[in-house]
Amino acid sequence: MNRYVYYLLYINMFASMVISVPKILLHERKDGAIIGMILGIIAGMLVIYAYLWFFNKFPGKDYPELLKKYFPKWLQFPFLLFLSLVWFTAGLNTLISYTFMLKRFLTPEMPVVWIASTFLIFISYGILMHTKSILYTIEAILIISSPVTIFLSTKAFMSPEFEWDFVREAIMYVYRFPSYSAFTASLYIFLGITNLLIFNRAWSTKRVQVSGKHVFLMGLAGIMILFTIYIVPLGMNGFNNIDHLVYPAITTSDTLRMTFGVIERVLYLFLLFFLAITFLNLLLHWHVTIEILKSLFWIKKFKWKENNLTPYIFIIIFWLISLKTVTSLSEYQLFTYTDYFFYCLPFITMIIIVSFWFVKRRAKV
Amino acid sequence: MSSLIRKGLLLFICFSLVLLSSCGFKDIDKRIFVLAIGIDLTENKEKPYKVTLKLAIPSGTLKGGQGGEKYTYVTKESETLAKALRILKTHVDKEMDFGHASIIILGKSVIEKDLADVMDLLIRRRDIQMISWVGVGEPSAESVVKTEPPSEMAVSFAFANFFSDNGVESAYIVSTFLFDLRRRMFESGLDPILPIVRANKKKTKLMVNESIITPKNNNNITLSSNETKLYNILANRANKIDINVKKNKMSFTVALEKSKVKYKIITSQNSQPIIKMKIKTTGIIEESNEELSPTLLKKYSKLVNQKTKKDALQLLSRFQDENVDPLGLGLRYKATRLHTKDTYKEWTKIYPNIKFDVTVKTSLKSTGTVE
Amino acid sequence: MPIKTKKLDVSSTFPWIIDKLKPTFDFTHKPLHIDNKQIELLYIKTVVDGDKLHNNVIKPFFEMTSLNNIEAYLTSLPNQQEISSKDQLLVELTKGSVVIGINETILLFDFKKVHIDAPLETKVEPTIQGPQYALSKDLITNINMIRQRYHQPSLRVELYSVGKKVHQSVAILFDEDIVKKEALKQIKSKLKEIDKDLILASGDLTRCLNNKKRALLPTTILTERTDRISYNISGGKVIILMDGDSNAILAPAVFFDFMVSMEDEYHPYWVAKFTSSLRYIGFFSCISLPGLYVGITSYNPDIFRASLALSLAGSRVGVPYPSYIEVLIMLIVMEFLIEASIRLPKAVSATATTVGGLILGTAVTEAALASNILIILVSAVAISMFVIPINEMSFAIRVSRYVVLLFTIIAGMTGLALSLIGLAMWMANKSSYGEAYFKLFMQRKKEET
Repeated sequence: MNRYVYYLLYINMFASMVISVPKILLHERKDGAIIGMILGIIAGMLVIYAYLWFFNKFPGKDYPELLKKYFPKWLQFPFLLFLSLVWFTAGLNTLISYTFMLKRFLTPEMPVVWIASTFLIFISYGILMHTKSILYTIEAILIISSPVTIFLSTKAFMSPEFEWDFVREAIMYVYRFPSYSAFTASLYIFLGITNLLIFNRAWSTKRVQVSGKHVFLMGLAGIMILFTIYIVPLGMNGFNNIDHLVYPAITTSDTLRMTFGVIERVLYLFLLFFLAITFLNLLLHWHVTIEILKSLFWIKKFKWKENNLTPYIFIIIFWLISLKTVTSLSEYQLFTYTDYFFYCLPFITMIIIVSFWFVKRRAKV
Repeated sequence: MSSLIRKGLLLFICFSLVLLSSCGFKDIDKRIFVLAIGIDLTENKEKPYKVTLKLAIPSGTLKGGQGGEKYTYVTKESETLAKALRILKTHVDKEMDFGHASIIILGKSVIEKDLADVMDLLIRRRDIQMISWVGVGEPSAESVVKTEPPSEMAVSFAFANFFSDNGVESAYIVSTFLFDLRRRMFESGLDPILPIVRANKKKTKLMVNESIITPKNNNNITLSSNETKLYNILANRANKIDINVKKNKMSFTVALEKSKVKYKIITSQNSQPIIKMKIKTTGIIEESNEELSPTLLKKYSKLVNQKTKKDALQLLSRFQDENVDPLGLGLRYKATRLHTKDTYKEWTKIYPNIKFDVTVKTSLKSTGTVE
Repeated sequence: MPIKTKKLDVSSTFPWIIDKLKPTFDFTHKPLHIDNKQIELLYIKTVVDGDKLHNNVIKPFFEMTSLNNIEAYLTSLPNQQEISSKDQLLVELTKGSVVIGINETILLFDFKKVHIDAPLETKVEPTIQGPQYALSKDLITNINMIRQRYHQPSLRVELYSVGKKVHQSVAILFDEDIVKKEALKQIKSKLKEIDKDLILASGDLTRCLNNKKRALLPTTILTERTDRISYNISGGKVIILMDGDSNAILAPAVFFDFMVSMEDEYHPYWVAKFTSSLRYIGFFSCISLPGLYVGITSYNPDIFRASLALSLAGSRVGVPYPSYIEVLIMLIVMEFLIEASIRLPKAVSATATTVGGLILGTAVTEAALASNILIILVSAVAISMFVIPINEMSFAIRVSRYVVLLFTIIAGMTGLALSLIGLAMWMANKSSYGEAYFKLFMQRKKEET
């Protein structure tokens, strides 16, 4: 099986270990988080299967191209625009959350605009690359970062201060009505596969394969990561008061200690490696956005020395929107907006899957 | 990529190097590191908090030269902790960096009055590590912070060596991290326990061998050294333990290496709730006033079992009488029963009457290097 | 196959050639005359092998009986060349050919004399356990050496000529069966497009073959070792040899080719794996250590242990300027040292080492112009730069180190992490003649997805 498809999924899973998912899940711990998580896992695996099945039928083509061929024009333009907005918001959410985290924990004196600009400079170079180059970058950096991530999670489980009693207490709350926030948050972890919309065009010769084995493997990784997200903060921080922590994932990493390591406070190691993973996640999301936008608007005459300048207009728009939101949002607003964004995601995914069915019928493949 | 836009961007970045002062760039020799924080309560109503900070002065060369670390101290009384810290910044010419503040000492008055308020500042600030050690200072936090034992080497740190397992390993020391303290303070069914750090009058020696339990009902209990040792055994935290056994005229001391404690809470409908605790240890004999024969190791083990069981029961009933729960028995109760609204209330009713059933199994491996 | 010669006649061409070349002292016009046989020789003395000429042309001329015999004999000599135009005759004369006019026809023969065809010793890429002979400076000898290592009939050699003023010959070698076709096509078209006047050496040729005018990372490898060449031919690469230079160009080259030393093939498996990982660690530390120093001392001293932070602060006692200026000064001085040591005559090299070691190391710390730890760091960086086997990559790393340092100065540890990722992105975006520059090859298949 094409290993790059796995990477698309893993980046999203790893990145959501810090961004918004832990806080939402832990907020719902007394109100049916566990059942919500299980439902989310099942829904996630179904979504993965649907995507793989669809893109198996159309090797080498990406979604905007297919929409253009098989859908009426009045429908595809607003729909694609809406999709690009969804991906842009996902990336923006990641960017702002991590910028706030960096400001809070790593460099409090640096102005937020500066931190966000540093991200934006590298992102602007990155999203204009070829699709395949992005995949190569992701592979190279994942190979370095994922052992560290796995090591840190294992370390948390084996730490002598980890109290399994708190986890057992949390599991005892299982007889509750499932909560919608927990469901959407767990579903978000599996939504990395939706980046296939654009990335499918990197594999023109080899088809994306669909089989129960692959879906099961991906689902298994999702289950393990989801449980790590839920269990580790509970075990290290206690059950009652964990929703008073503003950033549970990062505070949990602060509780770990590498006695014999060069870096004693695991927090910094955690922040820096997740910086890399978050950057890759952002790269993925905004690459999808800019590719969808490129297929919608392409001003042919706007050239300068044989370089078409339309992507640069989009980049300037991205910069302006990001810098404006970074300075004007407060943390609480960020969390509530993220919550609302996650609420909409299952519906959007359903719409896309329904459109898959339409396209397949029209293409008669 | 259009090279002109890249160049323009690069020039823009270079010019903004001029504005470096606003983005957190501060050289290391303009910072001074705070190594320990001491908090006391004063009699003064207007300014209740007294904060003492231990600052490290870096020396030019570490080997040869002056050797030894130099420290300086600043103290301030103020109405809130945050204000104290800000005013203390004006007493030193460098920026105070709390990133290495790994020891927090509280005065006894603090834990009697308001531990939660003090803890709030320490937890809320991001630069104080959650893995700092917390202790109670006697006679006062200030005197403990200002102690400089001569056995301390340059750039290493006596306090840290007491608490981490890197330095001294002893069963009489309870080490509590800040995050551990926080979760114990806010959970029901688990009570915080802190070590007591004692400094002698001349401020040259530090002794850590007692501990204090600070439950939520403010009924603070001090544990003596022996009780601290037993607590460490029961909480599975002990490293090198010694148990002294006396029978008739024979008395010997056993050095236990590791111990494992498991317990279960058994509540059934019509009988007395019981906690069944099993303690398993291995060890060798360290000191004896008579000759010992290796064939009688089983008998010695039995004696050790009896002694340990007696001590454990004594400590557990003391906890029960005073209604404190540092071992987390209440938490275990909540963790093993499906949650209802009244789970914790049930526990508070059961706890005063619960019976302890302790079995100790020691296996002594040898009698040391002589018999 | 019969050699086609354009019909040029002696009476019009020869005076023209003599006229063009008369002023130069080494031009020789020799008519040979005996009985009623007559031929004329035109050649440039300094590039022609006089002995061979005498043995192969002059002696038989005087020994054979009739002019027709001589013509038949001459046309059967193996070193006869094609004639395409009068200008080509002139160029060939300068390369060392001899123009013979016989019976109103012109024949051209190659009697080149080379002084520089001895295989040299490996100077730039020595190994402990490999062959120690490198390529020579003559094209034909080099092709000979390579063919001796790679006995495969599908090894093709194609000859081109570059440089409008210098007319240097360039040969392309590749194995027809396994070469990467896309890369071959691109290289051939690039070679035909070169229209510079002067091509001096292989390095110059590399610059002209590149896609971009301004590039930092190399896309071709320059090597002098014959075992590396045959290793790469069997991997499907194209070799470009230039006459007069003992370096061969290997194209296309991806990032991981630069970190492979031929020693990996000669040592046992685990030893090779160990040295290989050592190289990657050296690469990584070379790029990031200066940035790490600035990030730790000036932005986040609480990352490492307390004792380390206090040592850093202690070692910086007395240094008057901020850390990034300190780092820049020490790095620039180290660059001076490295640049100068390339050009040092052997007599002075010992002095330079002393100067570098003593002054930069000890005295600078004593005078509190830099901290102890920084000196250690800078020497570690200098040494780890030479762990990379191929020089072009280590030069490229030298430059990108400053870019990473710049971003760390601006943005702290965030800048360090992001600029390293940026470097990875840039490498992933580069393509070397159709091959992805930074792709990890984990599946052992011919066609990777």
